[in-house]
Amino acid sequence: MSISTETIKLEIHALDVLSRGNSRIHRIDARIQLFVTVVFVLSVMSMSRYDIIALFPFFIYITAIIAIGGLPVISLIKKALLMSPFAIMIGIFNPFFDKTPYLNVYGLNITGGWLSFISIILRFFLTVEAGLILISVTGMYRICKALRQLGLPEVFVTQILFLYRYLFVLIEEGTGMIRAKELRVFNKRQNNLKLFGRMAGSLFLRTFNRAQRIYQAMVARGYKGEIKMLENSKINSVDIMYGIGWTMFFLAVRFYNIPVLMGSAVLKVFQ
Amino acid sequence: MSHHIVEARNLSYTYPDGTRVLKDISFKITHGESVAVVGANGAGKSTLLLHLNGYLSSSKGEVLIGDYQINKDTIQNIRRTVGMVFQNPDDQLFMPTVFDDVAFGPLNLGFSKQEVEERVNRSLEIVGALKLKDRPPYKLSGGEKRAVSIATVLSMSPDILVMDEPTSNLDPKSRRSLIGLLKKFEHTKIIATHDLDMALDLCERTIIIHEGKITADGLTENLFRDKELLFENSLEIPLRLQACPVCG
Ligand SMILES: Nc1ncnc2c1ncn2[C@@H]1O[C@H](COP(=O)(O)OP(=O)(O)OP(=O)(O)O)[C@@H](O)[C@H]1O
Ligand SMILES: [Mg+2]
Repeated sequence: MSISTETIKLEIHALDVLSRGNSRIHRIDARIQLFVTVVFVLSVMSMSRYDIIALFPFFIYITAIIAIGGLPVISLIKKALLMSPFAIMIGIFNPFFDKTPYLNVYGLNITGGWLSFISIILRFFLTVEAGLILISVTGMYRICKALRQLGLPEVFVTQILFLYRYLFVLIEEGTGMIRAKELRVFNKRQNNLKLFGRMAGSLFLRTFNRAQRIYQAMVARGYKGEIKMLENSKINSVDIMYGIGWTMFFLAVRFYNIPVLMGSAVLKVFQ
Repeated sequence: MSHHIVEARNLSYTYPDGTRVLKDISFKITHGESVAVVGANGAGKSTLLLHLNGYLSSSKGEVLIGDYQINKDTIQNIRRTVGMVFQNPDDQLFMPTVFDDVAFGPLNLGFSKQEVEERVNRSLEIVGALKLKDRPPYKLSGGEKRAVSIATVLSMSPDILVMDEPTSNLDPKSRRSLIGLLKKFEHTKIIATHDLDMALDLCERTIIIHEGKITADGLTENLFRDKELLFENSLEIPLRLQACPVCG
């Protein structure tokens, strides 16, 4: 348990470090990247619940950004897998409730429930990857700056930035507490719910205190609630082309089942 | 530059939960002085330091930096003048890389890109951490973190350095090199610490706080030789001033 939380922390931190890279993707304005990611996520999420094949073109986006941005593929996949229990929890009951036969593959009936289960997993994976990629090429600080430039109120953006920072604080404090507990609990039966409740309470307080100290350190260095960056990037024509290009692609994939269209086109050629 | 004076006048502070921490604290620290603030755990040292850059402010008493009282109009200038290094470097370093962290202060002060980069390089150079520039802070050793924490403050070119337990968690060698570094600074220094040997090395003057009150304020050497005074304040004579038990 303690090892895995430690890894999550280091790995998400590592994402932020990646964002200092200097590929062509990294140089795209953060607002455009944010916009593209939002359109991507909305397109993926609004696909029909039984779609599986139609989702595949979305992987082109993920693959392209990873390739051009020089991002570490394996660690990005691992991070999404770490979070996959959530997706499985959401989708696991579908196969039990939705038993309408949908497809018949070699005599095996595949129910709608199973299809939607797989679709949920795929859509979850795509969405999480898109988010991780956004942080990897933009960095949370630049994303927040972009939100600010897009006109979101300062209080709101500061909240997001702090929430993100506090996530680490929470993981850090939590790791420390779990370690301390494991070293002192000898009798497994002591490991009960009451202890867990007390630990959660004190974890909250510790996180709060720690967060307050970080805030003190920021204020001490002139932080006034405004996010300042070394460079204020401007949106240029390349950025706009990038945004329009992907948006059109996502909309096409959303409204036309491209793999099926391509399949039937190929069939027509051969007939 | 005689205006780098830090003065507290009848300062009292009570935390919102009712804990009375500071009771009628008064002192005056003049330009270029190095002052140690010592006292037992919970004596109120950290709370006192938080008043010096206006993070906390009391209804009773006041703090003056130079000729300015700390208030809404002066606070931004005062935060530039008073560089504050916190007890735990993990609280001080919150950006993805060392560079970003050291640049945070100068950016908030509104310097140009070139000026910010120069300041970052210069401050990292001073603390000997220039090669760590692109590293993420959470991967540094304790000593390196401390050095970078100091750089994050130096980059704002403060006149007054306020530090909360700078030598805690350092191994003997890092501690030595930190003391060497601080000795070179010509800033006015206010250092809260449990490391009385360091206080002896760095600060001519010491203020002892006990349960929120100043119980002694004077030459470090004199105070630290006064066994009774130290005992009353839950402190001990620093090793260097203790009579050698072997040679008598
Ligand atoms: N945020 C807070 N709310 C309420 N009480 C606090 C708060 N912070 C500190 N205190 C209390 O104020 C007193 C002084 O704390 P402070 O941190 O100033 O002591 P210190 O001298 O720095 O101690 P140490 O040597 O352990 O760092 C303590 O009794 C502490 O419990
Ligand atoms: Mg303290």
